[in-house]
Amino acid sequence: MTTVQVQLEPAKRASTSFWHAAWYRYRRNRLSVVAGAVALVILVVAVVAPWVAPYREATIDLTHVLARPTWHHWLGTDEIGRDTLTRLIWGDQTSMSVAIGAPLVGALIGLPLGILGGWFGGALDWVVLRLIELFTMVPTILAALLFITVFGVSVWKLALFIGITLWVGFARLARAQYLALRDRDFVQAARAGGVPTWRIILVHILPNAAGPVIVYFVQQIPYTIFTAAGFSFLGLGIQDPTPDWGKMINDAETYLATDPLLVFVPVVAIALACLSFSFVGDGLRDALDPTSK
Amino acid sequence: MTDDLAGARVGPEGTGAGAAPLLEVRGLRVAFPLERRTVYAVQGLTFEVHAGERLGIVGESGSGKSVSAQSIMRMVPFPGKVTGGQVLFEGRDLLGIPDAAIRSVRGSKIGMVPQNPLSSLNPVITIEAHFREVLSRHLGLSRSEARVRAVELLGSVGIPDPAQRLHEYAHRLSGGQRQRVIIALAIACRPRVLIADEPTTALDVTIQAQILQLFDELVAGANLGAVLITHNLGIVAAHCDRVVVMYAGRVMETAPVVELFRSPSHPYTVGLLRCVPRVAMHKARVFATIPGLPPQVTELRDGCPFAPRCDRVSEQCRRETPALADIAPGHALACWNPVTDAAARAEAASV
Amino acid sequence: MLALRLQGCGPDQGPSDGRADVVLSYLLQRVLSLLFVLLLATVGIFAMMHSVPGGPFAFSQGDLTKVAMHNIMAKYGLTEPVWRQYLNWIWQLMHGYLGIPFEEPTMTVNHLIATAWPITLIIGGLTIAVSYSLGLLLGVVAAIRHNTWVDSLITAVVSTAGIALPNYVIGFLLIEVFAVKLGWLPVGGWGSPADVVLPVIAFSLYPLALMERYTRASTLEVTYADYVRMGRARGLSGRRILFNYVLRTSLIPLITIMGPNIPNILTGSIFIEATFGLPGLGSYFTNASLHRDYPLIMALVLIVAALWGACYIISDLAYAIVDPRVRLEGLSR
Ligand SMILES: Nc1ncnc2c1ncn2[C@@H]1O[C@H](COP(=O)(O)OP(=O)(O)OP(=O)(O)O)[C@@H](O)[C@H]1O
Ligand code: SF4
Ligand SMILES: [Mg+2]
Repeated sequence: MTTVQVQLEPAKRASTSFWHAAWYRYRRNRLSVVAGAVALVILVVAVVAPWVAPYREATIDLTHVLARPTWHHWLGTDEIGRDTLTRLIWGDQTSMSVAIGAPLVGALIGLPLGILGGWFGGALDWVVLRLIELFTMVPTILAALLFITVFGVSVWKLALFIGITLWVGFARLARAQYLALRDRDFVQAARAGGVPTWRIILVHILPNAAGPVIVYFVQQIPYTIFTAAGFSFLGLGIQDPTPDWGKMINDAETYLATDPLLVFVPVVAIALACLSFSFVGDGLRDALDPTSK
Repeated sequence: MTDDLAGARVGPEGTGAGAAPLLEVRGLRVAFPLERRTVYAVQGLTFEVHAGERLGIVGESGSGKSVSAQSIMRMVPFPGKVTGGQVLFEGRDLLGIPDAAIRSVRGSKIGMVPQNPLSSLNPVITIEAHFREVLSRHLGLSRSEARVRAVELLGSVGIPDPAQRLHEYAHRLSGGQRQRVIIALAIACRPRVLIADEPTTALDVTIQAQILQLFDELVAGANLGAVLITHNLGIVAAHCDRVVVMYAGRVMETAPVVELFRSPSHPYTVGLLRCVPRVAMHKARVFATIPGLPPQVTELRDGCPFAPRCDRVSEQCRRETPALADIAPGHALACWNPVTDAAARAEAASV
Repeated sequence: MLALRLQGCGPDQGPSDGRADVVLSYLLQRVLSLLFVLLLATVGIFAMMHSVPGGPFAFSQGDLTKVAMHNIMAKYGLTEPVWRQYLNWIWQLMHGYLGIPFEEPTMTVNHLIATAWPITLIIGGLTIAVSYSLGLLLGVVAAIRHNTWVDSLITAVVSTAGIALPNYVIGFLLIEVFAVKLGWLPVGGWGSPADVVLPVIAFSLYPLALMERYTRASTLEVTYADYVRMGRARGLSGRRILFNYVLRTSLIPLITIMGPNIPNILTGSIFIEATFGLPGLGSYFTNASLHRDYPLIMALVLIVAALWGACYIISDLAYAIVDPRVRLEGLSR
């Protein structure tokens, strides 16, 4: 990995083969491939929810309350006659919005802070480190709950709040990656060659840290699904009329003994979503970041 | 088997041609079945070590030296498997005996010195504990007996103030001291065979010389059979009696050290000798000038493994595998077109 | 991170001199930093909670008259400027008094916590015992049987049931099977010893899985270390290698990984407590959040954070004590 190469010929060729190799490694893990397909279906359904859901999201039909599965309601209805399948599909949209949105927020806050703290050192680094310590001290779930308590909740607020508690992990990761890459020859060379700081970070450091960051990002998705659904299950998260899996559990809990399907459907949905993204994360880790087992 | 050192230096014939070898490796094969391919690391390796003899094994990186040493101790790392051959020690085939039996051979009958002294001691137990566990395991010594013997051993490998050192942890010793401790551990139970796999690579040149001198003294003093694995022909010339030149998991040439340097006959050996830098001991440049890379053998096929890089290659070389055959007493060779050219030899031998 | 801080005692100093000093000054530095961050946390939370208009009673008791509202606010000191309120709070805190919860004005926060926490502690303590010991065992077994079906099975079950599935989902499945279908155990609530079983199982799975993963990884890492190979080359028995060579080093890093998890477990999971209807710390936190019960929220956050900080420092220290390399020259990892 000589300096000349990196300077004259931006990582293009090297990185194509890296992604090829990664794709090859990913494909070899059958579980991750299946999980990837399931995750993809979950994501696609979330996007096309308005077109595939059999009813409008909040249609209430008091004549069909707590119905068993029929041709009209494949998965039955809840205590105020809302179609379970419809709520499942719309809940998918809610869930995925938060599940993708929150890590995005976390990455947008954490990555720059982590790298800049490492790069500039001194006071900035000290502040970043204290902030990291601060956010590590309060468990992320409590912190997110605190934000919800104070500022209220909606799908986007939830993504924002959970995202804010996720930034610490991204900042740590970025710092570690930065520290590991800082002393590598090509960064030193770029520095010696007078390449401006922002360019070194953008061109030399970030692309090389991409693997671990992507892995970490995907690993946060099941956690976010878990937390967001957990909040609404407690009655603290997404509120009616927005359909949400956790809220479905919350509503159906009363009918656990008589109508277990009502609880079962959202529980399976959450489990399936968490499992598939978790296995995708494992597969990506083995494919992109083979050293960190 | 006598303590006759002069005899030992000349080679096995000197120690008495009739004496059975201490350790005999016959047709050893080791393979690593990996996910997409199988690496045939050792393919029919054969050599023997006599008491009081120091056998050097040389070859480029990846030629299977370490794997061979590991298979003697039956310690080939997963997923490697010994797929054939014998390792005869005191008349027994070590490859066939039960696990419990091989464990009582390791460290007691056969000692091993690894390449990397820095990471080869347990970081969380004291030096004394290292000695205690081998001495009680193999010789049944008590705590206090073990301590006395450990002090003695540390003294004998030249560690100053041994009684004090016993209480230390490995990280407080220097690299050279650690290697001495490891050697002391390897000889603690008076083994018959000592295997050293590049014992000095991690050390600087002065320490290297000291460690190798210690090695010589121990071998001579206890009449051990020793195997010294190295990249460095300079070390071989100074510290070995006989040499095995390995390539792609096979023996290419074997001869007493003087003979090998005087009349190297295998093109690979000549190549190796030719690229020894004039100032010996600098490992990095040793193989700088043989064109091409050493192979990682992933399919079994007939023909000389060295053929792609050999300047004397002929049609026969690509078709048939040359067998190891004696060309003089104690000097065997696996090559269809050996080097006989005096000029080439002389150039190589001028080292 | 510890290694860097302890590097003051290098190999040039004798084996033990200056050691106590180093530990003490290290401890002092960490405690001060912890206090500072705690202070920061309380300021931040306080400011945040008072930054929204409306106050805690705005939506819980919506139809109060202006005067009544003012009276209530005055009772809790909410009419004073925010910085005064904060100083009052700190002052009370230093006297060990955590205030009066808005929701239950007849009790003190101290009293509430004293009744709720023991329940959480019992569940948490049992969870730690079960998950750490079982996780350790499974991790070691998986590592020893590396690359066999035992390893694959343990890894698959653990990463599915423990890491990928939310604990409340597991909780519901457990209730469905063991309480509703089989009727062996209660659905939830608190009172009899049987109430402990399902929550502990559901709560244990995640830390158990973490423990298994880390134990397996660090044991495997050590298994292939040079000094372990050399131990084998000296003919040591398998058991000796496992205990004296592998576990003795591989378990050390677990202290820093699993130590800081202890306070999380001991302060309970809001999800587990809700699933099983346990009146523990977590359910008070949930309630407090629902009703913007600031004194209670502040107290709970403070407890969790302080406990976390303390455990973090203790596990770092324990690490330094157990590993001779850290003790003397710092780990170069
Ligand atoms: N654990 C392993 N897994 C797979 N292949 C292995 C393993 N260990 C050794 N090999 C293969 O066996 C061959 C011989 O390796 P070996 O370590 O014996 O070489 P060596 O001669 O000791 O080289 P060096 O001088 O670098 O130590 C190599 O091709 C290597 O790729
Ligand atoms: S057999 Fe042929 S290819 Fe092999 S070393 Fe001899 S001459 Fe070269
Ligand atoms: Mg080797």
